[in-house]
Amino acid sequence: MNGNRGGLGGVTLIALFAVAVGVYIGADYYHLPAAARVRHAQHPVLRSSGSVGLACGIAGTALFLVNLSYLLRKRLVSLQWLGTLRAWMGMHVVSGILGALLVLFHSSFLPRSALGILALSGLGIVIATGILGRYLYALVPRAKDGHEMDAPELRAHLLALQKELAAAGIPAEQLLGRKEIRALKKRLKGRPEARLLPLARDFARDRRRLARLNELRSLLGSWRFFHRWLAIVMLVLAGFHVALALRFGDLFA
Amino acid sequence: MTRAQLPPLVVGTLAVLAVAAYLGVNSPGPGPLAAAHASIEDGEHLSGCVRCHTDEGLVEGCLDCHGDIAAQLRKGEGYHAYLLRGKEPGCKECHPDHLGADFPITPELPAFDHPHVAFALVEGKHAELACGKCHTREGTFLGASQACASCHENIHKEERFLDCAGCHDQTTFTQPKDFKHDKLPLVNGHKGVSCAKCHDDNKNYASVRGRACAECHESPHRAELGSDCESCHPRDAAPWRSASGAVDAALHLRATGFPLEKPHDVLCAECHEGATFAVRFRSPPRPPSSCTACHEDVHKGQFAEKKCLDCHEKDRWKPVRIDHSFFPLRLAHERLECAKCHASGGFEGTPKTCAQCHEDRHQGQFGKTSCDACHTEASFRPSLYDAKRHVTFPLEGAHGKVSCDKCHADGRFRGAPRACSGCHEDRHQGQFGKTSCESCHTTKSFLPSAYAPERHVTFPLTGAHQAIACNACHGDGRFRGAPRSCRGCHEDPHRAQFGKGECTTCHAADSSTFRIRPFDHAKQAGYPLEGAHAEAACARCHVEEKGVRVYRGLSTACTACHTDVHRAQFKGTGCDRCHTSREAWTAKGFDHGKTRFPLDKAHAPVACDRCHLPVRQPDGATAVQYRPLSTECQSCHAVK
Repeated sequence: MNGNRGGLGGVTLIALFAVAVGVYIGADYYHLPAAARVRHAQHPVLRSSGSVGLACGIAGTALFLVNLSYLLRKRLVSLQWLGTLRAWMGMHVVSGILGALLVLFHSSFLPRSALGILALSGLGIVIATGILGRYLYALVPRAKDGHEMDAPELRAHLLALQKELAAAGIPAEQLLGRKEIRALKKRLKGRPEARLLPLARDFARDRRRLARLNELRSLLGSWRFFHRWLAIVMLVLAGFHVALALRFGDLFA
Repeated sequence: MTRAQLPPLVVGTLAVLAVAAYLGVNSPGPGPLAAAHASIEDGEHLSGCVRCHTDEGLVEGCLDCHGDIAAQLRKGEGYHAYLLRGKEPGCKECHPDHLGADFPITPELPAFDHPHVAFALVEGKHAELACGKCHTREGTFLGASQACASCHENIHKEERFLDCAGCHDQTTFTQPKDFKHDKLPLVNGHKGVSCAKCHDDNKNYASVRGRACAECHESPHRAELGSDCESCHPRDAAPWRSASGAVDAALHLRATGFPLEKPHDVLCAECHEGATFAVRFRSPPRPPSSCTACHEDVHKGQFAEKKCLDCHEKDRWKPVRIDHSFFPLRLAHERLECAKCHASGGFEGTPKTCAQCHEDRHQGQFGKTSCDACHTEASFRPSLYDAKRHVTFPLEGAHGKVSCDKCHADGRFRGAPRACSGCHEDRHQGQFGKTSCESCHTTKSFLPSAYAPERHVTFPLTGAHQAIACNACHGDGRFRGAPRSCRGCHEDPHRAQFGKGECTTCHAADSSTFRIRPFDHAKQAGYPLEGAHAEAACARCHVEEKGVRVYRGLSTACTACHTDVHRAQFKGTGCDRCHTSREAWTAKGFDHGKTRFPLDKAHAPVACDRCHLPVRQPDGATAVQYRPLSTECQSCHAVK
């Protein structure tokens, strides 16, 4: 996940900036109650069915469809040529956050229809579980291409690390937790072998994860089920909302 | 997905869909309908939505119920047709719904100006009316007539006056603005007169009295002038009381024998005064040549033997034709007002000498000397008196340039002071006692002084002191008792590091740069400068602290100036134990044989840095490790 951190941070900053600009432009309008908004000059543009509001809704929905393409890439090994799972995960996070922000602007921060409120609430829960999942995802050891390592794979990885550390005179088998890492750091202070400290930290961390690998993968699996189910329910609700809006919303009159 | 996950998935999904379906059917809209739409059947349910949101669109749904407006839109009439001109019909833009029962679906228009009708109600009495005064149909504003007569009574009674707006605007009914009163143009005096004044209290416009002046106006003139007012007062004459438009100069000359030439081309009332001039119209009777019949004799009879026109022009009072040769009016006198000399209008016995009119500013100091010995008629100043005549005190140097009143400020010309101190303040405040000013200063200017540096014998001016201005030392004007020691004038940059010692111990006072005399660092400072120290600039060791360069109290220890590159590995050992030479920073004095690891044959040629590697020291910095250092072989040699 390290490789994704910079990109995600950048996207988060851009998203926050876009939200700030959008809120700044519509500040006058967004802070008004519904009844006062209808007489505001920006109402034709910023309301849910206005030119900008409706465009945000359509773009947000499109982004959610793009977001779900991650599931396809994950299922179909034949799509490997489209990039690593790690990169697709980044796209999944980015499109989810941006889509949610666009839908928030589409609701003009004041959803009114019951179905719209329900769909937006579902979206909020999906995003919240997504943020939580981002950390659960990082807890499970992964190979460089992003796929989850199983126990044998992780054990082989640890052995390789142990050999590298032993070659530098570091007894990896004693590295159990943070306490041992601190002692090692003290011992290597000023010595050339100190450069191997990050490796030793990885070894100790992955060793701890190996000990809880089954629980971690099970937790991630449950979370994934819940997250997907919520996403699908949210999409169905959004579908209802779109259908009602198309029939009664007088959108393109 | 596992089989175990299937039941909760199905149940959860169905539950959410059930909630969504319930909400979609029972509360599909974005909010409750306005009170005006409360009567729509099933308005808050999905089945009721179609009553407004028809298959043809929302507008059609609205117009299905609001037939009046639909009819107006079809005809292109009414306020809605006006608003939607050139646009697609739309209702929700002005009448948004689903915002609650309390929401006013029809926007309040407190300043509604009826832009869709030609008779816009924006001013006058209509602007103050409540809407309900005209819109009498309950629950709608539609259908109100724009004809005046639908609300107002036609007080003129006749059908031909039904086009009210042809004469009246909305500001006031009683003053029709646009009515063309062409038979009697309402201009000048008739402008602004209330209609009722002529039209029987607004009741009769068809037949009106007042076509002849006398029908409305009472004549103030004598009867013999007749009733044809317009023979003298044309209808468009302004103002009415001025008859000058009709009674022209020829008529006046013919009738009175008095020509109305300039300056008598004035309004009648200027000669025929008062509103009662009707009976005094030919007054005052006087011959045309008698000015005093109308004009006051300001000379009070002083020129009884003369006629006014002997001196004054017929068409203007000034200038006068007067022979003033008995006292020629030249220069300043020529420009004077007559009254300056002939006060109170008196002309007989006017004085002719200067002193009779002018005050003697010299208060008799010049006795019987005539004024014109020094002054002319042009002006009191400048005086004709010049420096050549100032023989009792020759005006040399700067004295020749100053104005008289600099010395004669109090008007004192006789007995004015001649000593310098009589006029000039003693800037030296008596420091030079009875020494005359001329010994140092000239009449040319106070500065520069004629005082030569050679005369400065009590403190010879040498070196930089030669080149500075006097006030650098005598800035406070103190010449007697000025300080002679260096500190009297110069700030001590060393901040008393050298106590009360004389500056000249180290510095040459006769140097223009205050240079330092040859300084023996070994003798005077007790620290010989050898090797690299002799080449180093003073400031390398004598650094500044709080703005003062430190010379006294400096430590002679190496570490006072040099960083300990060994990071305290040799703490307690003097640097010069190994670094014996001050020529270069090499450890020539170090003998590895005296350590606990003498260098044997194999180790002797090995470079120092093979064993003494850079190591992070306890203070965090990296330094070559010399001690402590393991003498174990493995500490340097890897064991394979």
